[in-house]
Amino acid sequence: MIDQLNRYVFRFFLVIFFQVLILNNVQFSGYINPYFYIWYILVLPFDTPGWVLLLSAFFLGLGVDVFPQGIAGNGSSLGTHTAATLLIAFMRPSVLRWINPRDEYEPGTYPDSKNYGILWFLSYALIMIGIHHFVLFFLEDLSLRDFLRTLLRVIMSGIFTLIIILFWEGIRFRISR
Amino acid sequence: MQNLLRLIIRFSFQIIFVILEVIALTLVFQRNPLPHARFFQLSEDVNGFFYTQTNHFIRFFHLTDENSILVTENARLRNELAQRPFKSSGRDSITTFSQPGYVFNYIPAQVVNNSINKQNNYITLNVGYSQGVRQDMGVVGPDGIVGIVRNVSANFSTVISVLNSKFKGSVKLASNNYFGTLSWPGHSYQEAIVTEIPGHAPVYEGDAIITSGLTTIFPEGEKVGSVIQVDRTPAGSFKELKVLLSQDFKKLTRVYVIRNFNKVEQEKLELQTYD
Repeated sequence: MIDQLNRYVFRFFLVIFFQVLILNNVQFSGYINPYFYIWYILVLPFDTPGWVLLLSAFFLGLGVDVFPQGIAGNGSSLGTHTAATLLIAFMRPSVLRWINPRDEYEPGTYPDSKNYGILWFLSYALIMIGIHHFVLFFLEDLSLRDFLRTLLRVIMSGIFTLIIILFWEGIRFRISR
Repeated sequence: MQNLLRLIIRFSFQIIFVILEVIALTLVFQRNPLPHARFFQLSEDVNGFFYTQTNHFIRFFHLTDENSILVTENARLRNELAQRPFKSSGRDSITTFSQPGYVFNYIPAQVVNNSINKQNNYITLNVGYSQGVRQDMGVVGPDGIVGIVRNVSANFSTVISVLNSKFKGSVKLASNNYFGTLSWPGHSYQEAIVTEIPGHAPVYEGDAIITSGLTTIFPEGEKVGSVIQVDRTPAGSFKELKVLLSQDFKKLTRVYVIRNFNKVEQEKLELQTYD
């Protein structure tokens, strides 16, 4: 139990540092910025208590918010990751219920590609990334004046986030096998 | 009472979510910049440390590029110096008797963090309060203007990049001195727009845009870019210019913060006048 806790705390800091030190410096075109860190929320155990889920999402988002690329007093930057990550954490139980596989989820397993297959994980990740990126980019823009362009950013960044998450799942899968 | 408690326990997940989300959204929509400024002041030094570390590593790979940029800049400055006596004997000579020897001073700085892919891009520099940097100073790169200083900590400062929807700069056409406002529409990191150019001003593609010197932030004549497209506003009284920025923000490493020694005096006088 303590071992498990340590692992998640370690992983928490790992995803934040990976996000702010590496991914935030990846600038493809003006549209793409992958946000891998939400993978942490995706693969928390099924039996995570609600308040743990929400609090870890809150601090995860805040952790990424504190180190944004452009920091200086940008009123709209602080809090956007926090709000978006909280929302997907809140929706996670409903999403999981909605896309549950043929049988119920087995106790003691994790919602990842190893336990429930790559196709199931793909649809799960796609829904969660979609919600997260949509909220994130529209909060960042704080207006609907360039709706289509912001939507394009959501889609492009979402694809890259998905690719990195699947790639990472692939590595984990291979290592543990 | 017991029912209420049961209700709270039953909906604790929803309640916690609403509370936390309200906190997050308050942060997002907070218009008062002061708490932000305080918060960032604190985190800026921490960030600055991290970015300096990563930057040391990354800079190594750009040494050749950087050298050639510095050499070109040196050459340009030498050329300018060589032309100086001729210039000041011309129409500028009248200003010399009222102006002190120098008004502007350039503080060299290193970019330790930079983004170009947001709606609001910011740049972090490794100079701060102790090096003489203050809020609202202009920042120029080797090829043109870069931004305006926003927040300053002891050894770092953050800059509102030209590539920021909040950036506004006073610029003019080099050929005929008609001035307008520079801003960034957010589409491409190479293009900005100049608005409020009078409709009768002759403008052609390729015309140079420079800073106007009408604010205390930038001296007159800093490079901005060149016109690539001229549009008229629907009413026709103004022209809107699409400008190719001369500074490439993707390879920004060394910049200069501009200190204006007359800034305080000028702004104080102006403030008295406007009141």
